[in-house]
Amino acid sequence: MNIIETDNLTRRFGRTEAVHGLTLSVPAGSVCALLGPNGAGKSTTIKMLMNLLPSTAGSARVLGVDTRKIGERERRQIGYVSENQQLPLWMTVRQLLDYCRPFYPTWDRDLEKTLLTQFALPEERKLKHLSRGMLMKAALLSSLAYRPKLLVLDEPFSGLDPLVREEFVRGVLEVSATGEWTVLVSSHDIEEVERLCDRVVLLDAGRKRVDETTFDLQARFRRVEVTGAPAGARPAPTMLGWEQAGALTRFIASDYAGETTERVWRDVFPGATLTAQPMALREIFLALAKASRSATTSKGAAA
Amino acid sequence: MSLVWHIARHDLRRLRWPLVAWVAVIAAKLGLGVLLIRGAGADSTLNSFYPLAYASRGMAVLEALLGCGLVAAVVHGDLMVGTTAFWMTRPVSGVRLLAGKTMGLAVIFGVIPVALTLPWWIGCGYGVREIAMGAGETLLWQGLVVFAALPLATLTDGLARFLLWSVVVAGVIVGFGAQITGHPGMVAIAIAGGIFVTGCALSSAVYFFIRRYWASIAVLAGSVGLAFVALVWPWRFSIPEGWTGAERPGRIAPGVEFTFREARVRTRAGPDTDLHVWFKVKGVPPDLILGGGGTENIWSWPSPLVLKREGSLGEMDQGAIWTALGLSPPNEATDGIARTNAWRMQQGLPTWTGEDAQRLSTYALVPDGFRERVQKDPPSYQLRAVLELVRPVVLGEKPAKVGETLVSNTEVSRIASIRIDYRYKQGKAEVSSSRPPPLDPVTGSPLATRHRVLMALTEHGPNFLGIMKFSETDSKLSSSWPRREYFLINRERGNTTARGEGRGGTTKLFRVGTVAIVWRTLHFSPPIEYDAASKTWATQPGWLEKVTLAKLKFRTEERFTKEVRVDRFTIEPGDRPGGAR
Repeated sequence: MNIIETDNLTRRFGRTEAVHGLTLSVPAGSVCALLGPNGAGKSTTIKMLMNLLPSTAGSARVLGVDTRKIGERERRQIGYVSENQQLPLWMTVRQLLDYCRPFYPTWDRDLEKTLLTQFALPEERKLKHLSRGMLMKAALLSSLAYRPKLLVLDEPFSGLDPLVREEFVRGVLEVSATGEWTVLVSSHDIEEVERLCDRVVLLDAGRKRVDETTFDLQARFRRVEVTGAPAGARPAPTMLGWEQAGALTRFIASDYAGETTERVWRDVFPGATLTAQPMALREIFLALAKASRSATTSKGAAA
Repeated sequence: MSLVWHIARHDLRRLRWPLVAWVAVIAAKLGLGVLLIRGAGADSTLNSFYPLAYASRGMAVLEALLGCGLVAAVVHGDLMVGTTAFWMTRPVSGVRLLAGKTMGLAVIFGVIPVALTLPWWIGCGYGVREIAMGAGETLLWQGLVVFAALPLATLTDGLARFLLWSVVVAGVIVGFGAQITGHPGMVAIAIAGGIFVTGCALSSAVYFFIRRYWASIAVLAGSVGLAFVALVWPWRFSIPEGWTGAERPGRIAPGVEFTFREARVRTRAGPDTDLHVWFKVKGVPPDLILGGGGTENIWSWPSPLVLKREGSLGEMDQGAIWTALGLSPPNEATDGIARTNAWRMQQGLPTWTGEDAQRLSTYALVPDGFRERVQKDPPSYQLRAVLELVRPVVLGEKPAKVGETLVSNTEVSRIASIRIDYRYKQGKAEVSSSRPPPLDPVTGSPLATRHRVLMALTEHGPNFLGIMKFSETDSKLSSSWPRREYFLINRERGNTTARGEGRGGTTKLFRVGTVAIVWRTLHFSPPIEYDAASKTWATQPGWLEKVTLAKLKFRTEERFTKEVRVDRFTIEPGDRPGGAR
């Protein structure tokens, strides 16, 4: 069962198309990362999924309900933390929890206590006196204590120092490990997301570039170094980041399929020495972003 | 419901400090009302009235401004515009949020003002009915503030933008309003106000329900436009402004007879001449006063020439007030006629008889040369007069001392200060005469006493929606009878009484929390008494030492129209000096 489904979801602001024909699905229990550079359309997508913004075209369903009809019943099952969310800063942490609790029949007081201890949040301190990291943790706590079926995190790591990031990620990891929760996290901080997610959707300029599990993505990307490759030898046009310096040739393969692919390369580069290294998500993201940018530049030059 | 209250309570808690200011402003306004009622600093000049009244009015203005700010603060606590508000991602629907906000606003603008004003109302003598009406009016005014501020609060994302757009919208309304010529009338204002308030409420509700910015703007702009159309629309019905005195004849009215007695003029500077027409009246019971309202005087010549003039009638009191006060009425048949005849003899006019004691006169302004025209060619004359039979009722009597209060149902009068003006005192008795009272040889009116009592009173009573209970309406065909009157009585000294001159001297009125507060000065002159020792009539300063203050109201028993026709209208020769009847 998919917790999130979109079909050709589009949002325009005047002449600018923030999200273009986005079709994706997030299965229940997965931790899905919505990645992309600034302006890629991540937050706009999330706002449409949360019915904060109406879509210009297409449709989306969250928890099986059309997002335009998301109501109180659905929101009781959704946790939402965003860097831009305006929290009631005049409240103390305790007051925030007291305020939120009545809205959620599934609020778990024990979990609330556990998370309070785990996040080391000062209960009687006003939110406006909390550091940014503490504030995000308070928001996370108020979105986790009712055990939502879907947790949406919109740029949760922005402005957090490494230590707090670590605590935050650990918090989400620990909580997500305790139940059948689905997490959708948008970020451009790929290293943090990498530890969290098992599925990646990469957006660029409002369009979806990648949508697959982290395992599959990392399995098909390899950084390849070829020493002693014959001049002019090139395996396929799908190679990214092709670089050649003297006898050393480097490229990124986006369709690596183990021994089969390496056999093809050996045929293309006879006698050469080949090494294929797995790539971190961040490297894959950068390679794709660069490729996308150069493609756009080429199109612009051609035009 | 519990979640709605949870949201409202959240707002009330968040705004606790502004609410303290809100409570303080309302309390200050009412506190100034208490000072006004207590007559703080009231003396014969009433100079301290305006500082108190304006301070209270300032508090009322501050209350309205703070109210607008509170509406904005309540709504902005959970922003409606944008996508970043906390509530938007929580299980709170727009409808539930609106219900919560409405409940919060109801507490702030309903419960708090009514609860704070309740002791004020109870202290002012309000009963359950008055409290209900007062609460209703309070809710109405507070509701107007809420509904006027709500749409802009809903459609803006902060106090600065709210204030900016408030100024812009107010400017637009004032700008359009300035284009309206003439007074639109109460009906148009009421309808326009209703449309505006409904539009404001609808605009806000639309945004809470569907969160479509331009739909709300369209509803708001549409309602403002419609309100302006309603203001200039020629509505074919009207709300009567003031009391027009509908007829209410009874068993006495048909027996009241009017007979033309005489007419006299009094010339004065200017193009017009005062005309006084006397009628002999029969059939009025002695315990009732025949009070006159407006008159229509029509003179018709065969030429044909018709002259119409509006005027007013005096009153005929055969001692009803003295009877009501439990005093022996003066013998008008002898003393009153004696006074009149003294003057008439001085003028060489035929004297009146006892029958003429029951008389009433109307007064109208006629063009210069009117008498000559009448003498040359007497016209027919028709009088149409609105009359009232009024019964004096004593509302209370207390010693004339500072701090004494006269309470009658919800009306309270309190003596704030008393000063006896002895400036012209010349011994015990100032003037003397063998006949009561001596008349001024020039004016023909009774000689004024040389000393007087200057009394400052505070009055308060219910006053809903600005309909002044203490007003003394004097419009066409309406009663000119003052609603309340005060008397000083010395019951030890021959049952005499003195009546407040000028029906109250200076009067200042102000409203605080649906209570009308009146500061009034009364100027009393001691009556001219008969001194048995010297066998003279004289004013007695000692008369003031043991007096009581009585308050009377005048209850209309019957109200009717009387017409008198005179075939041949004549005017007596010689000018009549002012004063005596």
